[in-house]
Amino acid sequence: MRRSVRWTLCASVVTALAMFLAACGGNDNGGGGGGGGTVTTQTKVQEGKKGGSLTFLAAGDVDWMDPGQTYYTFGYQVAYAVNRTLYSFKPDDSIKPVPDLAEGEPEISADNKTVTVHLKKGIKYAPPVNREVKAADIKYAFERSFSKEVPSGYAGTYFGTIVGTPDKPNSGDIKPISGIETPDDSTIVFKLKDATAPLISQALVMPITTPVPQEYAEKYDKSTPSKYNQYVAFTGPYMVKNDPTTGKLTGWQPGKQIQMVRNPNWDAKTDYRPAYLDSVTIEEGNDDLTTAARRALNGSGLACCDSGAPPAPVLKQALQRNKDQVVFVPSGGTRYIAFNMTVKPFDNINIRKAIIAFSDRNALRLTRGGAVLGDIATGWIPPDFPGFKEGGGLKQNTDLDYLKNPNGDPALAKKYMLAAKKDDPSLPIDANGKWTGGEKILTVATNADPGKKTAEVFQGQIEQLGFKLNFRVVPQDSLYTKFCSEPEAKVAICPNVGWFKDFVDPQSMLDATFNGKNILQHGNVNWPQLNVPAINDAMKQASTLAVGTERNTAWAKINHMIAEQAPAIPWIWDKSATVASKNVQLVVNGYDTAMDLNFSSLK
Amino acid sequence: MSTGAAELLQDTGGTITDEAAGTAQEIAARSPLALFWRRLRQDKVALVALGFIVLLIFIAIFAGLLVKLFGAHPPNAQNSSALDEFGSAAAPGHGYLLGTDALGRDVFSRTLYGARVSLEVAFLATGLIVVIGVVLGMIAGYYRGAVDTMLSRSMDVVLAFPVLLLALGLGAACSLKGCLTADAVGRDLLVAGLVVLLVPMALTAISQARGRAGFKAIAGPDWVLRVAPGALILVLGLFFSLVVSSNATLIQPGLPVVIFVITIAGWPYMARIIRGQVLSLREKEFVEAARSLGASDTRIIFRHILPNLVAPIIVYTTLLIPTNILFEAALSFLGVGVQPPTASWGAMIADAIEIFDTAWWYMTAPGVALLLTVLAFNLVGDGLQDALNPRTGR
Repeated sequence: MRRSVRWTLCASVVTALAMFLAACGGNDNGGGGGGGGTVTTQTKVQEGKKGGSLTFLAAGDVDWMDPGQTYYTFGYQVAYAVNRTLYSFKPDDSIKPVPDLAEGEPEISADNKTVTVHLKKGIKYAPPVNREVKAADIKYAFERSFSKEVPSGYAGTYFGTIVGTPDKPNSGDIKPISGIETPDDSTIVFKLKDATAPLISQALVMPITTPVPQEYAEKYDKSTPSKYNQYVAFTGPYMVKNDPTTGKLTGWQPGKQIQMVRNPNWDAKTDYRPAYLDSVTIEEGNDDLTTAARRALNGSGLACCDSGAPPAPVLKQALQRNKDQVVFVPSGGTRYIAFNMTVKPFDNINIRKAIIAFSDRNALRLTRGGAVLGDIATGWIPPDFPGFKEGGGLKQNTDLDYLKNPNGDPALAKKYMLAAKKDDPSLPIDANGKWTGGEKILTVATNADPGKKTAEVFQGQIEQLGFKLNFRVVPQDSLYTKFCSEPEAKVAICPNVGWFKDFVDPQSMLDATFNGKNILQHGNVNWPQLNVPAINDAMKQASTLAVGTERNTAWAKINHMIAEQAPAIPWIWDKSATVASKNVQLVVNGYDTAMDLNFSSLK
Repeated sequence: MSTGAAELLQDTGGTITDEAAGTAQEIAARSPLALFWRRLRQDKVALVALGFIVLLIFIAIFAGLLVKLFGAHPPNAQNSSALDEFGSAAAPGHGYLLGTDALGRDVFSRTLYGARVSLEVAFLATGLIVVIGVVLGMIAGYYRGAVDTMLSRSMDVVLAFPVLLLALGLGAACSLKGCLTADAVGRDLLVAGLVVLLVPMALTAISQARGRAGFKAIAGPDWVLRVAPGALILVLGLFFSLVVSSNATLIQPGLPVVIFVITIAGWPYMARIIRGQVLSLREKEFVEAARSLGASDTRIIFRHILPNLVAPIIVYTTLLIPTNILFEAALSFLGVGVQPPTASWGAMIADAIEIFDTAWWYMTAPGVALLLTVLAFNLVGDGLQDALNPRTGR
């Protein structure tokens, strides 16, 4: 899932890219999509007090209210309070999803080509729909997400192997998908083209599995984009205030506020969520995160912020004075500095290794707030993620000497620079291992902090090796849409990329970003353009393995194979931070790394 | 020679008594420059401001030396060990006279080097604005008619743009790979040069062929004015086509973009002022006298009118400089100015916003420098205006 600015990239890319590989990269304003795992800095979720109202201070707005389209952390935060998906996550365990609409675990056929899910009974839509949820509603939710009217950012990526799904979004009409069957009102069956059931079953936590009543929504789905965004039929403990007759959302004033009230048709007996609060108001437009975070810390019944983490100085003060009012959770992703391996001199592996060896990743981490905001990354499977432990945990890939020293190792960098010279004597490298070429290397960074600071620190480091950069800063959205995700732009270094989980499976972390088969001409997220047949083949094989240790180990090995190619400098597995007033029992969900409105309460 | 400037400088008004006549004679014996300097010397505030500007220029030129002299760190040297565990900027002291920024860079050094950027922009952009504005303003004001209409409407068009938005757009468009490739510019200039050169010649030839004296012959007294623009454009076109690399962009990202943007946005203001002045001056007796003596347009414009424009040009230029310094700071603040890691006061202030209440020194140093610099140029501008044109004095 994306965060803050990343959705902007996807919004434009998705429509153009036949819904492929739209999971996108990390932004720089807030960390990544889903959260980390069982080990968080959040204390165990305690029982809360019922009642009261909370105000959440946000800088921006949700990307979409429509569950078929939302693909943004803040959108998820609201979506999981007002909707119910087949599976979802308790706040303190983002590894093991729990059945939500589903009655139990997904049933996977022996050939890994069929997934069957049985639904609970008695779950009803909020007014004006008021009827019980049926399996056909989830089928329709999938079908509409493969249409141009509902441009989903990930439907093609994760559910494109369902039989009957189109290669490109359907236009003009929402067409049935033959591979989704509903033998009765409480059973849904997904038939797959390939043996990818393990992956699909993990992805059933995504908002695409939120039911959509066809008879109510189809009139809105005739518009492009669908107007259902303004008429969502809710199933969660809360609902956005609406007109009970037409269903028009009256409580959502884009850019200003979202008023969430209790869903009168929600039955607590069918849900694991306590939903303590009576109502939640999201106050938008709090662009100044410093002010918003301080307001939350010093106020009453407030929480902040929607963009991943308040600025480091505020966090520093908060940790010194109001420690219990801050909650950190791992963001479940990796930030890295990508080298374009198709651009000289980064086609030379020893040059890449030299730069990685030289880089001071501690200094890079300080640009985001230091150790409190994350561990130094050594690979692309983040802490507490399946495959992390199998890959060596926090020490994954540190058998590779260039990833060993987080403070940088100039002597090792020199060794690799000289090795590069030996490989190719035409390279302009002097006897001290310094690059002496005069051509400037195009480096495109974000113009917003903290990403800009990270890029500047990297610039300072690489220039010590003699490289001269054509260092350009651009707005975060165009960083992807015009430069780093566009191979034609031939950007040599992208210092502000990152990838965060959509759901808990190591394939979701590595396939889109390092599989050579996923290099796209537009909207490419394999930023280094790594295309190694052995890695591609290993991914193909690992994708068919059942969820469990064997699968995790296979992906951990692939993670190591990628690190051996030195395509990028992984530098932080960061954490997301949320702050709240003293009278708020703050609970953050490890999956979307945002405040869990279903579990938070007032003291 | 023209008398305009001397008239302005000498005409202080009032009746000249016998006693005063002696003084007047003494004044009359002084050159306009001496009179100007005498008046300026009396304005202590302007002199102090001028001293500050001289000091600033010294700092900008010798920033590297001063950094070494004060034992400060190079402006782009990052020192993460100076930061705390949250990556917070270090306060003044501990080897950093004015503390560090959030990357561990020396704020003192960066402030000194920031002066260089500010003054480069101030002088280069202002210089370009003055050259373009004065030349086009004089042409528009002197020739009037169709030439004036064309140039004035061009000024109106540029002035109609919201300057900051125009600057942001141009800055963003040119900030990555630059704007205007040399081969394209060279080709366009060659075409334009040929048109400018050949059209008057062709019209002259047609006129002569028809036995009319409609267009002045190219060999007439104004041949310089008639041939020079076309020739100049042609030479520039050849230069960009043959000498400059075809892939090179003329408006390079960074400081050149800033200067380009400021020049584009600023020249009409200068041109308008000059045009207004020239419209008035061209009707003066000394211009009439020169014309009746057979002086060419070139001579009248450059030898008679231009010297009378010195005072407004100087005054407006000194007022333009602080405006352009602030404009550069604003562009850098908005992220389309000079590119990292180059130190710029505007960019430093922008970087400091998030932490201004926890790292006061970070915003204070460039902020104070910017304030004092702009104030100094404004005070000098006022002083020059008073000294050059005492009738408008305070």
